Amino acid sequence: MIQKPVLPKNWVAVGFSQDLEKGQINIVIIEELELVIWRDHKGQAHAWDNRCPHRGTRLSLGFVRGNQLACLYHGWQFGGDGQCVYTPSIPDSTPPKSLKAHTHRCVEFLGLIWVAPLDFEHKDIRGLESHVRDSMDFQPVRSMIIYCSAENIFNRLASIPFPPSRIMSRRLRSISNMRLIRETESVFLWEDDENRTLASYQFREIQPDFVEFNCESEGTADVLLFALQKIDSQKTALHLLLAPENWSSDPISLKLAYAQWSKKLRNQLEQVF
Amino acid sequence: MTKTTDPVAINDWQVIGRIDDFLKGQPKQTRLLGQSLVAERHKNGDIKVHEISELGETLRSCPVQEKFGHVWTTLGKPKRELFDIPEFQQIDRKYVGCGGVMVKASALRVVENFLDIGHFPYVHTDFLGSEPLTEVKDYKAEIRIDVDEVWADDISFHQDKAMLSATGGKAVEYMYRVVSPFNTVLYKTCPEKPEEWDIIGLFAQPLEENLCRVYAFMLVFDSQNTETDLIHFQQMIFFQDIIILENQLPVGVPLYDGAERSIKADKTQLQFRKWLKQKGLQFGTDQET
Repeated sequence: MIQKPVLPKNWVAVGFSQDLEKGQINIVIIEELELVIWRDHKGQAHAWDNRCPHRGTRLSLGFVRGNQLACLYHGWQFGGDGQCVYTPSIPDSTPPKSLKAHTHRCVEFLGLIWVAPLDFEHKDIRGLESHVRDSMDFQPVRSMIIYCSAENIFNRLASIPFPPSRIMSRRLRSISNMRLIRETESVFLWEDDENRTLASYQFREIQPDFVEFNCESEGTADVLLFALQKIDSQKTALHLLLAPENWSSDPISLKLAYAQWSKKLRNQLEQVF
Repeated sequence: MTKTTDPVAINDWQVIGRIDDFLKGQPKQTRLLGQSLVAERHKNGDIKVHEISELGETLRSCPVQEKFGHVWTTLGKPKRELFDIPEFQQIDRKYVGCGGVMVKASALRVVENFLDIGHFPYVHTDFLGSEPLTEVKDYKAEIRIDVDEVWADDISFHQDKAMLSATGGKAVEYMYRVVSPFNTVLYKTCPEKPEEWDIIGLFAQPLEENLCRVYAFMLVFDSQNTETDLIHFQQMIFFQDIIILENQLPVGVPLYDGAERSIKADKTQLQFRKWLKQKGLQFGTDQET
């Protein structure tokens, strides 16, 4: 018998806030559990099992009607707390309190939408907040699917690409002979032939699957956040945020440089050894 | 998957196609309850059906009968005759077979959806219902022990375009009859002959737990529309249902308590589920973990 999937007991980022507009409905998968993510017209985001408690219909087929989510099948309407407030087949009756969608905790932080099970004890995302340098101005770079398990992503960090060329000087870009050295478990260095450090990466796990990453070269330190969403044993979504030491006069091309760098990262992680 | 071990599904008659689907000298391969079959019409006109192995070797032969425009077989020893639909004898009715449509769903979900009135305004908007006339008034639903069928009647629902022959919206009467777990017919107000019922039926061929081929048919009084137009209308309605049917989780119908919530309007489905549970049917159901 197949075990039914359940949410892991921690906060999982499922996408960028900016990608879910008012009235919009998305599907996300966390460890094989399919969720519907939707934003009501007040601006509040919600994360529920993607099935109506009535006949199991994917709620993502439905419509946001005001601050309620309506199922496509029978028009049942659910409030933001998951409570069913209207069953059109018996229009004059008030649905019982027990008639609810399967809801989860859903908050927004650092421009990401985070989901955790209702019974997760660290229900305050600010527990996470104190571990992130909140004075920094993080902005979304991109979300992408990597065909690789989350565990393997960490195991393969030694194949991480050199910093994006956009942030490097012409001198650095011209150096061809360099070596990647894993200094400690969480520190990587690139050195030239004369053992001079050209760039360094330092990783810090804030919580499982949420990693801060300092990228330093030529005295400039950019901070990246890796929020990993395990989809299944072979697929992981990576949501990448950037806070550079300073948002230069051209922030878009800086983000683009990291966006392209992240594609190199994905290519390397997807190499089959 | 491999042939089911569910004795209830095995020891019953199941549809495997329309009579016209099997032509002389053209053996056809199909699936039933997780088992591969080959069916061939011989020179004398009889259809022979055999189970075949993964490698295509012929295994045991299966009983066959041709009835209600369709071909029926069984993988076991049915305890009872194939059900009857007496209206097939009424020669003034127009018989329209709509053909087989593959649906990535449990055949039981297809039957349940067929028994459902509450979805009309939402899935078949402006045809079988529309807001704000969404109320399903109280009706009767029961398991008829003497005939071992599920019946629902005294149903009335406002429909904008109940049949292709209907003109204008009105209250339409319905009766439902489930003749076996994967086969069902409904009776609804006949726009052309108010003293008669129009009949629409579904024969679902359960290929796998999560896959079926659904043969819809009509037995109607309609002197205005061509067979093609009638088929198109019925297919449009059914394709609207498929959007729902292929998006239900879990795929199987859960027969255990607490998995899905029902309301007063779901009486027929509750009787249907109770009946399936009494029979001990497993194929196409969701098992509790």
